[in-house]
Amino acid sequence: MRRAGATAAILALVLSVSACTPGYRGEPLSGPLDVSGPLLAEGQRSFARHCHQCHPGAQAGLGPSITPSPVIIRIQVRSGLGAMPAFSEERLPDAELDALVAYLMELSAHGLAVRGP
Amino acid sequence: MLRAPYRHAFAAFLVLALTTACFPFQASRGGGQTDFEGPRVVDPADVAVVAGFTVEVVAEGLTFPTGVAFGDDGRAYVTESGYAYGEVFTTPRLVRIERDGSHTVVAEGDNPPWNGVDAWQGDLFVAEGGVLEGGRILRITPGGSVSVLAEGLPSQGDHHTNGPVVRDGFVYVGQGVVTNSAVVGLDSYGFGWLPRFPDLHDVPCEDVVLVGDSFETPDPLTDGDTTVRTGAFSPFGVAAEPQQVVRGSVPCSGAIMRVPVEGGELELVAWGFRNPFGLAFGPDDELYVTDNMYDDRGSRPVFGAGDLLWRVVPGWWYGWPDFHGDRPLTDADHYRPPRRPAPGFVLATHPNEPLQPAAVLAVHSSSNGFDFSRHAGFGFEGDAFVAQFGDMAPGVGKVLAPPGFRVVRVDVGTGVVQDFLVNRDGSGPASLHGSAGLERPVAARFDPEGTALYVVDFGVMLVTDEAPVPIPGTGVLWRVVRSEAP
Repeated sequence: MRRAGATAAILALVLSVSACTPGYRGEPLSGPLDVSGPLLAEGQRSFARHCHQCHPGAQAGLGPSITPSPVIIRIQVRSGLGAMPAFSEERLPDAELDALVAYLMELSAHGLAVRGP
Repeated sequence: MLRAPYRHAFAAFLVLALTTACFPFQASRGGGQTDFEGPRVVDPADVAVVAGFTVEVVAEGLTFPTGVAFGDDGRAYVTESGYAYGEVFTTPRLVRIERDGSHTVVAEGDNPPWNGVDAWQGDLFVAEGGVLEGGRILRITPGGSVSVLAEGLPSQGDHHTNGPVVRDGFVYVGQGVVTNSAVVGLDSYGFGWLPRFPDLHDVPCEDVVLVGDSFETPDPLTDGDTTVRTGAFSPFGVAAEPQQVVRGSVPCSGAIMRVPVEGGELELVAWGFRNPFGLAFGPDDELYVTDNMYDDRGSRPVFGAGDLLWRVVPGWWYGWPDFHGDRPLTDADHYRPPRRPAPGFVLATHPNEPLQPAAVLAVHSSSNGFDFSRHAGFGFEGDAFVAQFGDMAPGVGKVLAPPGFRVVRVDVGTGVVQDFLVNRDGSGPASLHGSAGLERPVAARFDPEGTALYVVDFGVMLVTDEAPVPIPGTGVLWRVVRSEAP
């Protein structure tokens, strides 16, 4: 019973992660994203420095597209799973990671708003 | 039993592990890993551009076009390479694009590839890649008279002489390296040049001292089952010694060099690049260059190294073959390929501390020719518009989706990279989607007024497990202009 419950919990989490549909599409397809605020602007610069090369525009490239979930992004960045390297606090400070997460969530929401989920 | 918060974190971790840790077992999905049945059809409606712009087709039917420049008559001149990976040889040509889109041949060569063109005082300057006879820099009059400004550049290997730009009486070119990461190996055989030039290797611009590591491979040049050991900056089958000094000379591998427009001695501008393909001067009058970075192939493979856009400081060494930007390749968590050893340094000492690049572009995007916007009527003044040829997976390494196959806009002040011109159907070339959009953008240049961006599209290049398969006659010249005021 307990094992069935754990399995169901993991399955539910898998489904919830799968439901985090990325909306990243790029400016030609979804229009410009307003990053005039300092948090999003910092997040955009951080993304360009650390993430874009493997996840261009947050989409798949060398690696998969980025799951638009703050929890998942934080775990992935700090733990570095699979082929992805871990980013230490020295390399990517917490405040910068906050900005990065905010930017990615905004970028995904912007694309979904144009395309629909 | 874990408490609830930890259970959730563990479950999330498990999900991530399941979805991302299986990279080594996933199939490559490169943009060239498809089929194509010609003829190529083009339709601007299949290309998406930033709002306020319109896309047009200027010319079709080009064979392996690589660059565009504008003569004093205002007309576009395009270089056709004459060679493409996959060992396909045609005739390198400079063609003039007439107002009806037809092409007139201005000059032909016999030492391909011709990798780009610039114009100055009515003449055209071509970087002759020289895969057979070494690289040269050519000056061609509009009437087709060709003179050689410099020759003997080390172009017979993986990468060639590229992307000329003319400024203040000098022609600047980028010279690519012979290998992936300084070691001649089985990938060199696969490129086709090792049987032609078995003694070829990279040449540094200044003396370097080697760590002395060598890399063992089978010997494809013999019939037997022999193996050989090859060191960095050494011919195939020649091992390196600890603290071995490799003499530098000019012309050299992985460098930007320049020669007077009237011809003369080649001068070194900067070195330590891998494949400096596109060159342009920015609004700040500084020289910028795109640099195609390491592949996951050969005896010393490197994983996850995005292409770079550099602001060039004269005299500086830019890190090849031991750095990616300002990061050492010994940063194994980042650069170790799956199931392969991490790259170690091959140089015992480094000429200087590498700099931070102006921007980091997508891994395997093959970020090539570019230009800066200078006109308020076009907008985005000061941004670089970079043509991305797209991946050559699986030969260069695996990708999960096709990077490149577009034109991106780069803010060289912040390093932010954004899409400008893409296929409407998604990532990858039009041939992957059966649509009529972009294939492989290889160069981008503004017209003399600065109000129209011309994009050179190399055409269809498939990639099989064995070799690239370029399709002649599928090249296109596109133009992007403003349809609404910025």
